[in-house]
Amino acid sequence: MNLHKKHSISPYLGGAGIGLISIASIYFFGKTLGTSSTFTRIGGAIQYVVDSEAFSQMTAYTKYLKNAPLIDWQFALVAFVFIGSFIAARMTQYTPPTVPKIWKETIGSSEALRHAAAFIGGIIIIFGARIAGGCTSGHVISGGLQLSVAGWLFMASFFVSGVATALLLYRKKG
Amino acid sequence: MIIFASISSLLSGALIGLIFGALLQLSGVAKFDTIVGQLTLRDFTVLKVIMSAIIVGSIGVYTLLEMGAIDALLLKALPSTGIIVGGIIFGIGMAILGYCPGTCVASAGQGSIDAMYGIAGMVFGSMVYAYSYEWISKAINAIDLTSHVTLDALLNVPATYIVASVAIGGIAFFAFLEYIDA
Repeated sequence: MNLHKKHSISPYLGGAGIGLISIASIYFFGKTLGTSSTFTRIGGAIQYVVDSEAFSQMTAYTKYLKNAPLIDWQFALVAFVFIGSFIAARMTQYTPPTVPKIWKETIGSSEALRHAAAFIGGIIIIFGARIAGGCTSGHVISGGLQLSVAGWLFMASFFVSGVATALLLYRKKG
Repeated sequence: MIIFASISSLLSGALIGLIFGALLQLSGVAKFDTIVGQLTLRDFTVLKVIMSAIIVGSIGVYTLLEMGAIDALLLKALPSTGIIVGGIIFGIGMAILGYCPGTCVASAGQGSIDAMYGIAGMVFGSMVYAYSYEWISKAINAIDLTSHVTLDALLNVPATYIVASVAIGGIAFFAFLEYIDA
């Protein structure tokens, strides 16, 4: 293990590990890595509690929840990504900054602004993920390693717009 | 609504997720600065992780396919318009949020408060999306160029060549990155 300020293990090793668990996931469980549909499921559960009549009319939800469980393989995966990261952070004694360095250098130190931007960014990213039918785990990693055109096309699209947006947004002050 | 999948389903998902989350955190990609560092082209950690996963994963999956150990790939069938439009929106969101959905959850796990707001945004956003679903899906073109199509089929070249090219090209790119110390 090389202990570097930026990462506790080499990103090549980490990525290779992710490749290995993707293979294992496909071979042993017939499943691919993914995360974004879990957020639709959570939204659906909330909608169901708030108004089950409306819920049953909403195709975006019934597509996933009509005949399939809410807390499924992917839901468990997402929940345990949280736990796995928590354990890894504790073991490497990592504490995150209150405001990320790049944000502080380019936009400011206001935590409230950062939190608001994260909330809004979350809304936008999930829109993108649902329209595309996947995210970095589902399309880029799972699709990418299967040489899926959908995966590579998604990767190209988000990378171009992501780089353009980031370069515009995060410019050093003064 | 059915609430729970089978215990074996949940346990296997949990195991994969646990390792995935740990690897994301340890590789340093559960951080705003790493991801935005990538999107501002200063830090190539994200690309290193993604490409390494794709190289190892594609060699593994295509070997399994060759050996007959797996019957078929598990591909998503989606209209290319949706992928491109969705991808563009995703990129904008990723730049503002500073994470992708998976790394956002991982970042929240390591204690980043902004990532927790991001999760709330993603849940809220999925509800807004569900309300707009009917008119959005109508607007998305129904031409489906990408259903069950892989690069080898598209280019009419044996998969082995594509897998080898990705690995060789990727490793050459890694060498270049290390040379420029990115």
